[in-house]
Amino acid sequence: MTSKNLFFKLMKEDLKRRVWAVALLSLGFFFFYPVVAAFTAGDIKDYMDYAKGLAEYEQNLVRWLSFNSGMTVFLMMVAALICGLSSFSFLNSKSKVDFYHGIPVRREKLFVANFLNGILMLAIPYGICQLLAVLVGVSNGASFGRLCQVALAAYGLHITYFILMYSTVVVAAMLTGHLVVGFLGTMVFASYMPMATGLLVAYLSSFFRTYSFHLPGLLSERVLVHGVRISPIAEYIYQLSRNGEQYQVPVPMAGAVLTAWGVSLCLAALSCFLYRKRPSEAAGKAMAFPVTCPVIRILLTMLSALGLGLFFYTMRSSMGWAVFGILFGGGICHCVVEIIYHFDFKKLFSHKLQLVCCLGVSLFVMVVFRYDLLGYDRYLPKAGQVREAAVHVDRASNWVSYGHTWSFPDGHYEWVYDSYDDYIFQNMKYHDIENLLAIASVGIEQTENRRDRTIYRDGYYGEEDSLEDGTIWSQVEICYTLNSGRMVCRVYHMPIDGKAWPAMKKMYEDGEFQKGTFPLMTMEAEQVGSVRYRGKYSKGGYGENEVCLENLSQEERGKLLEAYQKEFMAMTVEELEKEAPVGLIRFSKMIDEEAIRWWKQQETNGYKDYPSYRYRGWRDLTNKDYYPVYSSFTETIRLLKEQGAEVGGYLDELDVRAVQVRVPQNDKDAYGDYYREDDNAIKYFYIRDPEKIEELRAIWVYNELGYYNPFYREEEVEVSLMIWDLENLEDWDYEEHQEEWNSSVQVLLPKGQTPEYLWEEQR
Amino acid sequence: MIEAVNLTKRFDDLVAVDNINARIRDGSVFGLIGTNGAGKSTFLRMAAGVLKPDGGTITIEGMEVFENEEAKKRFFYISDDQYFFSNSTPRDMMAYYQIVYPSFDKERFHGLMRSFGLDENRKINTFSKGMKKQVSVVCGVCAGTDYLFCDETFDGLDPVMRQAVKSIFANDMQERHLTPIIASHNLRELEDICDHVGLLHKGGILLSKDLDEMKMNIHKVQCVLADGMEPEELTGIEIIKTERRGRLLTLTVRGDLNRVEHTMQMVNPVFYETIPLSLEEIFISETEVVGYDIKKLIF
Repeated sequence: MTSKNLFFKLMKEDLKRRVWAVALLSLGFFFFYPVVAAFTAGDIKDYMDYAKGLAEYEQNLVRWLSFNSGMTVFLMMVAALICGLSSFSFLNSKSKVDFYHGIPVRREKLFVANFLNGILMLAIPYGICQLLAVLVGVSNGASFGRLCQVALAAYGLHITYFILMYSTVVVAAMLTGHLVVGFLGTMVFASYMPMATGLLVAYLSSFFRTYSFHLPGLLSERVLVHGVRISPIAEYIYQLSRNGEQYQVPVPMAGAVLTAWGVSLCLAALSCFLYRKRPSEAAGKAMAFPVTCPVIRILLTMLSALGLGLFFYTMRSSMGWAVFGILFGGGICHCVVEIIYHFDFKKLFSHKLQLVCCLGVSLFVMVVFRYDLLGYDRYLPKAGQVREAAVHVDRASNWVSYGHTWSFPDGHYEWVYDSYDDYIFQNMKYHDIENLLAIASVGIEQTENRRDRTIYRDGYYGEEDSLEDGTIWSQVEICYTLNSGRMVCRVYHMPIDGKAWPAMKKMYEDGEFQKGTFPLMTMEAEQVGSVRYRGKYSKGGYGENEVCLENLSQEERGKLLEAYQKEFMAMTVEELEKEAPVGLIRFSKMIDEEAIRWWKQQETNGYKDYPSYRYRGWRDLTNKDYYPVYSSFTETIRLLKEQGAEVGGYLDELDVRAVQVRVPQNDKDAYGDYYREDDNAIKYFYIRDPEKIEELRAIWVYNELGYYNPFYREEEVEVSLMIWDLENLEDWDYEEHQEEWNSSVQVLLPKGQTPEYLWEEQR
Repeated sequence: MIEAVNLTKRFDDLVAVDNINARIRDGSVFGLIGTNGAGKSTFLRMAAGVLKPDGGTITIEGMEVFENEEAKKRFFYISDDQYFFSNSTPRDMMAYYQIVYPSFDKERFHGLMRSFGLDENRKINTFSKGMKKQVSVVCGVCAGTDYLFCDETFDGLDPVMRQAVKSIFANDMQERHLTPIIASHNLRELEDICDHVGLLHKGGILLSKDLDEMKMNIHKVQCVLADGMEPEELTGIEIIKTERRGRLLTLTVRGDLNRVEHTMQMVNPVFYETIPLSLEEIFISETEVVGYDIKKLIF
């Protein structure tokens, strides 16, 4: 008998022993695939249009068979547990171990036979059931090619991640000597790193006020997300979500699949090694290798102690409760682990010294974070240590569109959002480090002033603060690239118009900051496909009155872009405080123009070819990438006018019948009888005198234009221009005049220019 | 030959087998006796390659056993709680053993199953404890290995079955030099089977001797000596133990039987008779010599 024959016979015999698992998995997949495929086929006849019903059925079946099917993920997880634990369950019984280890078969051979069987037990029923589902789909009229393609791709990917999970379960089975402990071990492997990473992030964000998960660096989302992925289940779900169909873009999976196979291979090799080293007497014990006991116990105890410590701290914002949480969480976890290790309740306080050490270290960690003993929030490098920096000032760039138009495989276009960090922290190279450190110093000072306030009670920073004292607050994110190449990032919630104002103004006016913040400032002339200008109010608000300068020559487009870039970058913050935009300009790329044409065409033909896109994408795409044009942009305005664009008088054509002014009544001295304790109490009144309206017309600024100037100083009142004419506004019927109501236009009033009668009116 | 040299096995703080040295010759039935916890099963599990020794070596024909397929092909191990696949029949077990033991004798298996009156197609979990042991022995014998390790296998077999098994062993020893190694806590069960016996106690081996040799060298003499004569005056024989009941003496003596009888005839006693010792009595005598009270150890 050859060794090869023996191997296959061992596999066959093992399969015979585990036929129950094969039956269970086959049943699950049978109901999940062919039965569902047949069942949902009944939906086709519910459609009036057979072709539409069939298309819907095919689409649903594709979704069901694809890698993105959540139910398959659940089945795979259960299957990995069943197959993994049953493959080596004989190691948990002394009589079985005596049997299998007493026969003349090497452990490696036995391992490979059982390990492969565990995979085949799933792969064969899953493959057959998927094939049956495809056949059912085809027999109902679905496309064989499309279903096969999806099913094959999904088969490969699901099997890949099944093997990854299965290998992890086998490692857990090798390390333990009891089925239940093996299951618990699997849970630990599957969840420890995601939980530990989550806890680290929770500590960082709870105690370090200058920490942000989204900023680059060692503790960033990009790094920590890999910590979360050190779990087969988390990696599976991560790849699933990455492969989501929201953009219908096939995500390259080759790297992830190769990594999964590589890790699976390593885990399989580790399992085989552990099996070779595993003492037979481990059968029935909790842990097969005594050396692993303290490691796992300490790791779990620390995690539990720190987790409950933070939980209690956040509940009461008290270090007393934090200590209680640490003692309680650590103690309970240690005792439970000891009971499991010994299968003896009386052993719960074994290894007391280890418990005390774990609790001590956990307490120390909590104190380090709580009182910022490492000085995380006070970090301020020396100017000489910093090579360059990138800064995001939320207040300065909250109107900028970060993203791009994307052409999807099915032929439609959408705006795909990019994160502002992706743009700013990759593109900005700011070198005036002294100036930046001056801003950071104010941020640190502000953070330290607020340190004594409890984190969750105060709900600390916010616009309310700026309304109260008139200061401008902003989130300022700074990423230093040190001379060593290391990135260190901090985020400050700080007033930018106080001590930091001179440095902030200097930074805003710096070309490096502007090129790193505003994508248009780095646009090249040849990238410009067309220029669009919005200079007149349109009722729909989406650019009906937009001028598209599509006949511009390449040279003219370049000149216009150059003029705009020059004037935009030359504008000072002081000018911005006083000047409001008069219009919006967009230097669109070729793909933007293609996308706009495509959507207009769909709108014209009533979304006949793409019915599901009726409510998607259009608005996003057409309102992106606009930049403000100020009256001081003389060269830009001249060039626009040359092309026939009308600049200025954005709301001039609006027939305003009344002006509604809404004033928050939170100033007792100013508003007297109108004062309300409730901050939200608002008084409103109407101005109907045409002369007064005309006087206001000279200063009001369309609200949506004002949005493009974050530094514009405006009065703290809400002003609406009413386009209806009602004799008695008090009896106004909303239902009846809904159309008119929608025609109100929000405007801003510049600070210090408001006519005196308006304040009189308020009082 | 199976040879253990300084063989040691520990379970946590417990030393289960402590520095054992033993040789098991081929072609004899080796009995391994000892109280519960003496280390018999641990010794056999190491001999079967199930457990890895913590110290020393155990070899079969010079080959280390642990994880050695070639060495393992030489024996069949029947544990004290032999495992059968769930819901399996003797035929299923035969099919499996056929895969792993190339010399498995299928025809003989069928024959022996018939002889023992066991239904090959009946689920083993419906068998009695004794019947399961019979199935194990039949599988073990049919595996065609040179050695058969039986851990408490005879515990639960009725005398008739024990005799049947004994005759099968005798036949296989004759025909193909089978060497059964039988561990038991019950000396009486092994008496009529074993050729060589090793006594284990607290992980160590107290003695290891050939049973015939022991029987040839130790005898019980019941006698009434001539008036005025004391047993100490019997020269030429080594008296290990003397029991006196009135004038009737029961002497346990060491030495060749002819010489013992010659000595007795020479002193002209009133009456004398040589009686063969049971294995139990031989052990009592032998272990008492080395300072152990065997009754406390085994019975």
